[in-house]
Amino acid sequence: MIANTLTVLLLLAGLVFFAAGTAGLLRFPDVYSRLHALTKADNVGLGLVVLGLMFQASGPADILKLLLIWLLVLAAGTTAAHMVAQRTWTHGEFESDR
Amino acid sequence: MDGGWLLLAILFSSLGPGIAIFFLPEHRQGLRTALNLGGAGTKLALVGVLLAGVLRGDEYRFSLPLMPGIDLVLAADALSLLFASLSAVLWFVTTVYAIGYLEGSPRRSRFFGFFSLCVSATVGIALSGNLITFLIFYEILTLATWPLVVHRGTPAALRAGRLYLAYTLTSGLVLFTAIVWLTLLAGAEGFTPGGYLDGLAETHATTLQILFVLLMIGFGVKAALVPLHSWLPIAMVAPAPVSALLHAVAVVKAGAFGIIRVVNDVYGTELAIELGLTAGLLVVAAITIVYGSIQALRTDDLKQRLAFSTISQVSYIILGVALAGPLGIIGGLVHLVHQGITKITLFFCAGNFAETLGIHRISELDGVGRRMPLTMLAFTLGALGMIGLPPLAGFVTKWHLGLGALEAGMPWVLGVLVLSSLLNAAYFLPPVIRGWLGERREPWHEPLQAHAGPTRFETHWMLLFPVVFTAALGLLVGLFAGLGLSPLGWVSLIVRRDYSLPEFGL
Amino acid sequence: MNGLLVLFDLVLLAGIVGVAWRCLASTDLFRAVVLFITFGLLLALAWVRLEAPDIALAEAAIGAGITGALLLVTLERLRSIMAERRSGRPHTPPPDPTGPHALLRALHDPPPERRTFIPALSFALVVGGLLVTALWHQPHSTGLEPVVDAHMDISGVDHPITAVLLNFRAYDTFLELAIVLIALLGAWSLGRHDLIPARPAPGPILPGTLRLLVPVAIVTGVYVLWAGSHAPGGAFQAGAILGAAGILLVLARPRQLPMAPGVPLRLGLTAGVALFLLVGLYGLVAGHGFLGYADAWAYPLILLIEVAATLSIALALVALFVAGRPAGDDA
Repeated sequence: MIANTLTVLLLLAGLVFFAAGTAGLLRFPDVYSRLHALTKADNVGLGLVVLGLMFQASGPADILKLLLIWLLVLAAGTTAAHMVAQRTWTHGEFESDR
Repeated sequence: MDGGWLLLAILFSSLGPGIAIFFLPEHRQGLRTALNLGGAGTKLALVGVLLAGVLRGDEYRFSLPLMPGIDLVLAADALSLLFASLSAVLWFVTTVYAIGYLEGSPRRSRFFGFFSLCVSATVGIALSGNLITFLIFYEILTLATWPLVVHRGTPAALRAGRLYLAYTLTSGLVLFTAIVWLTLLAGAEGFTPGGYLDGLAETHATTLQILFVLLMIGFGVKAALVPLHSWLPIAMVAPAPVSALLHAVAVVKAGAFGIIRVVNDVYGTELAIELGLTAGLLVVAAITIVYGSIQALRTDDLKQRLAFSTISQVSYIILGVALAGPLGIIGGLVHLVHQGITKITLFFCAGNFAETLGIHRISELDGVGRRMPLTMLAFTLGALGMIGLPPLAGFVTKWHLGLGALEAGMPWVLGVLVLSSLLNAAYFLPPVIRGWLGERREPWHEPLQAHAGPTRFETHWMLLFPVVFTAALGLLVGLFAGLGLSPLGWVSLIVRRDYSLPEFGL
Repeated sequence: MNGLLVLFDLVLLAGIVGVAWRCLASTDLFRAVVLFITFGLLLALAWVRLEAPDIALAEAAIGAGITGALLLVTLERLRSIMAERRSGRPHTPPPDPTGPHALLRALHDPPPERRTFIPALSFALVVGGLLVTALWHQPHSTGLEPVVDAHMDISGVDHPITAVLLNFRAYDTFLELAIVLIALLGAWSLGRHDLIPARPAPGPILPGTLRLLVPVAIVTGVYVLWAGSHAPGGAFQAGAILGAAGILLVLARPRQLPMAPGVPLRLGLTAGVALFLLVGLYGLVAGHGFLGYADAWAYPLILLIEVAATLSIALALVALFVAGRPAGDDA
């Protein structure tokens, strides 16, 4: 029961971050600010969701897998954000074809 | 399983060398030639052994379970041997010719690899014991021929290849549908003389009629039945050995052979007549014969004229089958061999003219008989054979087709035969007359001499020998048609066995 | 709880349809590709909801991941060719009616819409009508699940999906492998590869991350392959993961493609199809039918085929990403 409550609370907290990140992505004026918002969702939001799900895991193997997912997303997300930022720094804002 | 390994050995005598040739580096010319000729010679010898066995009455059968209820069956009956020995002999000759023809040209390993695959598929078609096996080899043949058609890689060749694939793959799908449908209805029966569908005639008559039309469309593309023929004249851009393969040894023949199998050994002539199927086929064949001849008259390109002539001549086979009486079928089956030998001679000759003197058009043939007498003689024999002058091969065919038409009570077919012979003469005599009697004004330019060096004969011996050989063969099968082992004798044996008829006067 | 799930499903469905529509309606190719990737991820979720985790894995890895990467790199190539054309520089290769430039022209000058609209619409309606009719008249049946379950003990594996894919219906998988190979041959027949027009990212971040991610991807790929015998997974998913690792490596150093030249590459690419074919022919000769196995040999043979297929799929995906025959390969 406690585990379930904790899960719900943590997931809700994570969703708040996701919502905020999405709002930021849509509303902020330039690439850097958008990245700033987006990475919060990826890092903290997903971290909270993963933490919440850990209370539902059936054993240490599942907990480790969830942790691994979070770590991998951290690494990938950071790199992607870095590359987007770098590209914008050197080439300016992205323009689409039409 | 008795003697089944002989059938496998026949199949692998060309498949093995073919696969080995793919991996040969381009410069290993000697080894490649040895593999080619070794494979062709082995196949010839093995087919000879098989021929003797079947004549003795031995059973040859090899089967593997392909899927539950469906077997992959190789079997040798007299009919399959007719086709197998034809392709074995002609393959040997064509291999010699191709080695001479392609001397010094690039990508020969690829060419001869696919060449061997083609012949393996053709022999597989000949030895197939049921429709599913037939279909598998038939499709392999389609795919293995395409690289040969586009071998030169010119835009015209690529276009011809595309057209070839479009026609044959589409027809292959139609054939696939029909065969699967038929297998669902009747099971994966082996080919049986007289057919195996009698039990379905009452209940599924309409379905059987639809299936027959689908099967004819499937085979008709390769057999170049009008209106499914357009790919064949365009595919004549391929090198001459490939044209020989398309027109005489493998592709067109595979289509015609499929039609023979379906009419004789799947439906059976009686059922086919009963369902009114042969009448339609007869009309299509007659139209094709006349149409092909008329188109042949309209072109000046030698190879294209020969191609249209094939369209017309192959339909003689189908005409004979569609006459659906013993004599008509004899005429049709024997033409499978006669047309093969004669047409391959003509294509070899056309290749020789093109390679040695750079002649591609009929209007350029003036006086070529003095420069290349042997080739021109062979061409003349082939042309006269096609026209049907006694005692050459074509006469034997037309004689039996005529008798078969009378036997079947359809004298109008005689009219088609006469008209077609007149047209044959009209398009084959001009090149012959020009060759012997025409006057050449300017000197010959000789492309071959440039890279092959001077030769003792009128052209490279590897180009000359096949021509002389097949021309002589065409003369011999006509002269000695009465002997037991001539194509005619063999075909009579098939028809006697199939119809369980006593010896009848010919 | 059930109500919540229904709500979730409805939202998911709405998302799928919405994203699909946006993707189709988008006039910006880049946006369309990104939407397509999103569509693939949503579809993977839908497969999870349909309790088909195998397909979900494949959809996420291949449909969204690899296909997305292929589409993006194609877009980048098109852009650079178009830019070259706009800048008026003469083209090095002569216009080939069948080559990639024809595709480019077709993209550039779209055919008049009115002429294609009616046939396309009627074709879609006819096919759709046929599908609906077929579904309508489908006899009620329990499906093939009982049949599969009844034969699991002779399949050689414990996972029903793998049993179907590699034993009962090995034809399908064999042909799928062949299609991957043929797709690559098609790409190669268009010519040699040119360099991917991506700019190499300076700095240590990307190589550092790759040093971390690639080993993880390899372990995951092998695990997914291994898991296939008893749980969701198998050659296609594993091949896609390994292929993704290869694509990352290629992307990290676009100027020097780490492609093995010539014979080893070709052997690797054809290993899956060739081994499958050999095993199939062996089954034919041994009397089990084409692509059939002896019961006792089923597990080792399936494992062997899966390993070879994974290798081939991974290599083929990377090679498709690079596109074109490797340089210096004249065979």
